[in-house]
Amino acid sequence: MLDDLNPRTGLEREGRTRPTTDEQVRPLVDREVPLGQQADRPIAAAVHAWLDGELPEASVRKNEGGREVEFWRNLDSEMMRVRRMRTPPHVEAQIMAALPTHAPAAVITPWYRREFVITPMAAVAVGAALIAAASIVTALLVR
Amino acid sequence: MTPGALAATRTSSLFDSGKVHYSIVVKTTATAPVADQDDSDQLVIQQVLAGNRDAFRLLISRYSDPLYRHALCMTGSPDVAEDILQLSFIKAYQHLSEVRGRFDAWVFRIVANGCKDWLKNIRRSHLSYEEDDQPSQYATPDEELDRTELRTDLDRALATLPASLREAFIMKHVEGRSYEEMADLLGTTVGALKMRVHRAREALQALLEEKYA
Repeated sequence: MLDDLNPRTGLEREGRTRPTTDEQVRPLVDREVPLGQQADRPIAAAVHAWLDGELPEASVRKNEGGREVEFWRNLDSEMMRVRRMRTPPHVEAQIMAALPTHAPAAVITPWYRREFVITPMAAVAVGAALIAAASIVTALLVR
Repeated sequence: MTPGALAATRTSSLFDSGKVHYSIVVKTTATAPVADQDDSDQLVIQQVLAGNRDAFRLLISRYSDPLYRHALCMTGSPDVAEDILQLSFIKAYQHLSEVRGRFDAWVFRIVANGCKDWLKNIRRSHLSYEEDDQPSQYATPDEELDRTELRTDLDRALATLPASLREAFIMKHVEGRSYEEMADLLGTTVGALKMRVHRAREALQALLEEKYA
């Protein structure tokens, strides 16, 4: 019997099946955040509505949302600092220095405004197509 | 109108006057209406396309602050945010002739895609988020002092969210955009965005509530 050195084997001891190959390859960090922990106590609809600007704060506080209101106010004071942040002053100069020296490419012109380059082969093909079309039309008219 | 005035951003609290104002769109302009701003952008773009490379500086001044904040919140790293901003503006310059409609919305999409690409790449390369989130060598002392414990915890909590939830939460709560504008920028529906923001709030509250409620 071979020893399985894969530490994930521990899963089997808990009565769970081993992950498939795809799951093993896929790194844990690639997965979305487990949302189970939120299901314990979801935010009241009134709090969401208040945060979305649809309800006044007073009505949320009345309905036992005081704790959540305080929490979001606390968080907002921190987000306000982020809102005040400015781009570091050197970045603009860095961007300007990194720009190509030539002007951006010209506007992409629509196909009907572009100039056509007709090669001999293309001319022959167009001529043949026209003759074929003309003969078909003639044949239809003669009938 | 000076670039500084154009770059001024709304910094008032979302909870002003006892009621939230989430429908307020954080524009990068101080007073100019959207239509005027758009016309002004188009004039600048024409100048740049005509060969006036320096005129592009005005577009950078106008829009770099909100774009930098978006990149910073999405990546959690000032250095990465600067890199994304730089690459995005270079890309915008190279494809300036392809701008259709509002320049600010167009360049926002470039930055937002840059952030999402970075997040995808960093996850693929199995780098720890914390490892890459070292303080920037360019961070000012004031900025470092301002970095509270709550901010650090908030950044960590945001980092655990999937990119789509994080993006929606940042656009709503940090950038103060309306759901309609978010839908317009991200090409999705208001309902889907509300769902993302709600899920992000619940995840963040679950992670931070015990310590900060």
